[in-house]
Formats: sequence, C-alpha cells, structure tokens
Amino acid sequence: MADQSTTPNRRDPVSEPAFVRWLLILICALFLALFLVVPLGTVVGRVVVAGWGSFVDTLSEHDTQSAIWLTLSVAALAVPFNLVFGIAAAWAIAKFEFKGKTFLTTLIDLPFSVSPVISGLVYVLLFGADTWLGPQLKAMGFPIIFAFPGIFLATVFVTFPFIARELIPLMQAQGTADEEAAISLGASGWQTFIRVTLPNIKWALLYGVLLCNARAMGEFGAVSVVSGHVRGKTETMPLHIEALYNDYATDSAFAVASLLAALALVTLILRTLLEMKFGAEVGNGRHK
Amino acid sequence: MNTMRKWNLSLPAALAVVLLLVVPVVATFTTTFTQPQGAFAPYLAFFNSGFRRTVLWRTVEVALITTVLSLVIGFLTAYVISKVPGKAKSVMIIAAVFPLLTGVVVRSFAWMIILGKNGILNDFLIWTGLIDAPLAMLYTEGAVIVAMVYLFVPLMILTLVGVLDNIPKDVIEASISLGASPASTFRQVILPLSVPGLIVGAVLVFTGSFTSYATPQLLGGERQMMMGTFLYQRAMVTFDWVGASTVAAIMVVVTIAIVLVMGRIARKLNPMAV
Repeated sequence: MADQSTTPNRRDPVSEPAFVRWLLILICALFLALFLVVPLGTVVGRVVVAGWGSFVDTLSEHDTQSAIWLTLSVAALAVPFNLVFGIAAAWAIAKFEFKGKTFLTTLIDLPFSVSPVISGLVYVLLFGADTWLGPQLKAMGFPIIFAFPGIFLATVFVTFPFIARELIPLMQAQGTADEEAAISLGASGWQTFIRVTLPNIKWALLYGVLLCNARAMGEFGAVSVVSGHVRGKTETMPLHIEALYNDYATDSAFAVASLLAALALVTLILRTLLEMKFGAEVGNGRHK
Repeated sequence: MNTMRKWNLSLPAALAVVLLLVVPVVATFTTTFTQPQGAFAPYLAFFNSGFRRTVLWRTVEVALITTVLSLVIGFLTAYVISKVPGKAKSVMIIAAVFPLLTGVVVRSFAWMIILGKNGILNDFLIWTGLIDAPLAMLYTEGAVIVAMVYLFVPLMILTLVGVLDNIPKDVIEASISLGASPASTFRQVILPLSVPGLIVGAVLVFTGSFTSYATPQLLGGERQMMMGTFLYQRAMVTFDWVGASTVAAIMVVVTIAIVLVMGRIARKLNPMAV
C-alpha cells in the first residue's frame, strides 16, 4: 500500500508510514525465516551433508521401512476414525441443544490438556499385563499393549480434538438455516448432510484433517508408552528416530527425521493445490 | 427432528467419548485413592520428596517462561502479519503453519543440531571468537525452553492473527481521530481487545508445555527431568503404576487450576464483557 500521508495531518489513521510498515514486514519475515523455517532446514541440511548414499541406505533398512509403514498405516486408520467422530461430535454440538453439551465439549478438549504420556498410560492401565482385560485379549490372539491396536488407540486419543475443534465454531456460526431449508424442500437427512452441510464445512474439515494427520504421524509421547519399542515391529517413525539417535546412528536418525518432515510438506502442498483448484473463495491460510 | 433421532445422532460421539476417554481416565485416577496406606498416601509421598517437588517446580517454571516468551514473540509477529497485505500475508501464515505440521520429534531434533556441542551455534560463536570452547547448551533448562517456544509460537501466531483480524477497523480509526497517538492506540485499544486471544493462546501454550514429554526427553535428558519425563520413567522404567497415576493426577489438577485462573483473568480483563 502506498504512503497516504499526502496532507500531514490526515494520513491514513490505521497504518504507519510506508517505510515503517516495510521495515516491520522485513523484520517479521526475517524472524519467521530464522526462527521457524531455518531449524527445520538444518535437519535437511544434515542429510545433504551426510550424502545421498547414506540416505538411501537408511531408507532401505528393514527397520526403517517397517517404521514408515507402521506410521502411515496408523495415520491411515486413525484419521478417518477421527474424521467420522469429529463430524458427528461437531454436528451434535453445533446443530442441536441437549443436556450435557458443555460437558461433551470439555471432554473433546481433554486430550489437549493431559500429557501425551498420560494419554498412553491410560491404555496401559486399562489393557496392560496387570489388568483383567489385557491378558484375556492377549490369550485370544489380540494383544493391545505393545502392539498395533495400542498404538492406534493412543493415536486416536491424542488426535481426537483436531477435527471437531475446527468444525464446531464454523458450524455454530453457520447455524441450521441451510439444513432446515433442505429438509423442508424434501431432502432426507443423509442428502442434507452430503449436499448442504458437507460443502459448507469442507475447508475447515480439510484443515482439521491436515492437523489431525500431522499429529497422528508425528506423535511421540503417547505412542512411546504403548509401543514397547520393538524394532521393526512396533516402532513408528518418531520412535525410530529417537532409537537411531540413541544408537549414535545420527545420520540415519536425521534421514528418517527429514523424511517425516517431507511427509508434512506433501500434505501442505496437497492442501494448497486443493485450495487453488477449488477454492477461490478461501483467501489466506485459515478458513473464514 | 424428534428426540429419538437427536439421540441417535449424538450417540456415536457420546459412546466413543465415554469408552475411549472417560473410562480409562477414571480408572487411572481411582487407583491413587484406593491404596492400603490411606486415601492420600501417594500424594503425601510425592510432596514429601524434595526431588519430586523440584521436578514439579521446574516444570511450572519452564511452562511459565515458555508461555510469557511465546506471548510476546507471538503477539508481535501476529500484529505485523495482520497488517501485511494479501499475498505476503498468506506466505507468512504458511511459514508459521509449516512447523506445526512436522512432528514434535523432528522439531526438537532441529534444536539438537543447533545447540549441540559441535552444533551450529557453538561453531558460529567460536568462529566469531566470542568463546574459545563450546558451551554446554544441550540438556539444560534453557534448551528445553528455546525448543518449546519454537514449538508453540506458531500456535500463538495463528490464534492471534485471527483475533487481530477481527478487531473492527473503525474502533482504531475512532481512537486516532479522537487524538490518540499510534502508541497509545496500540496500548489502550488494540492490546485490550486482544486480551481474550492472548489468554486462549496462553492456555494452549501453558498446558502444552506443562504436559509435554518429547521436548524435555530429547533436549533436557535425565538431568532436567520434568513432569512428563518423570511420569514416563515412573510408568515405563520402574513400573510404579500408583506413583505414575499420582504424577498424572497432579499434572491434571495443576492444568485445570491454571486454565480456571486464566479463564477468570480473561473475564476480568475482557473489555467486551459487560
């Protein structure tokens, strides 16, 4: 924006002079680059220094591939689960009045306010070896703790709130007028949801899914408790990174770390592409 | 819609919440009150131990410092971002969001490279001649705080950009046209109107850093044990389930207390509330 101080006493009251504005922007951009982007760059930098060969070696190890596979499959299951749950919860909270609504809202936020270690621990205390349920399930050939189901449960727990929290404020703001119109025009409940509600919330939903997925792939504390750290079996990518680092396999650790960061980049690019293709109406980053 | 259908719709959510959230949490905390030594014995044991009190205090301290630093840095950055025109704004918001999408382990690792003994910062300081031998920066409280600020500033920025964007422009114009300088407009109009957002952000950052595990584990190590890492050690290394549940309960109580206190402050300071 140009400097609008054509007459000294009547410059645009809500903006600083142009040079101050640009100086501020420059400082801010520098800060964002230095403090937010560069640290991630250093991880990639380490990989570049170690060389392509070392990167390929790490990725072709069995344990690494199993960690990548585990992380991807846990995310692939946990995210759709929370997608369904998140929409159901947001729908119930935003569009209906019922007793215990505030309580339900508070509960949805619970995973944000307890430690990730607690999130994992509750399942150990529920399904662990000292419990009533744990050994029985294990005898039936379905162990929960130190196995895939435990990792899945812990991931679902910590990623519970992301989608619901994105949707609730938006759905509340949108109200129920659109749905009422659809129903009064003869649409069924399902049709109303698919053709009215879903299009209204799609951007918030996408954003929620993205954050949910990021946390699902990156979760460390909760998964660490329930995983049992069996190399090549129950180690997710974040756990594998720590294990490699503790073994002084630093280059391998950073190789896996950069791959995990790259997965985040892929999701971000995917979202930006989707927005560019379908969403001229969405301005910046966050949905309105 | 009739009552039955309402129930059908809220049932999946309610069931999922009860089964996956309420039952495990309640089961965990019940064990700490049903010990043979008495209902509060595990808690007395916790607060009678100097080491455990240190861990609790260190965690509160780290979380508070992290919150204050994130508030200041996050607010200043968000303020500038909210004034940047269109395209540059999107780029800046994406730059702020991107770290959020990578896991906490990756982000903590970044600081291990920077703060390590042969890390980038030590190399740089030696190159400039400011120090002769590398400083021990990793595995200190400072390292944990720096990494946590890095972890939480993006959250703060996102929260505050939304709040600052929603401050009506005419309020600011009114303040200027009534003779307030830009500085006093900022202090007396913009800042008070951002208080609710600042509180929301502060609660997010405080609970996040108070309960965190990965960052203190990777950057603090054994020497800088915090509640999260101590809880992990109790549960997964020494298999002291009651001790672990006690630590968990104390963490939950402290978190709830802080959230309630901040909520009260928010209501007191909110200029929009009547």
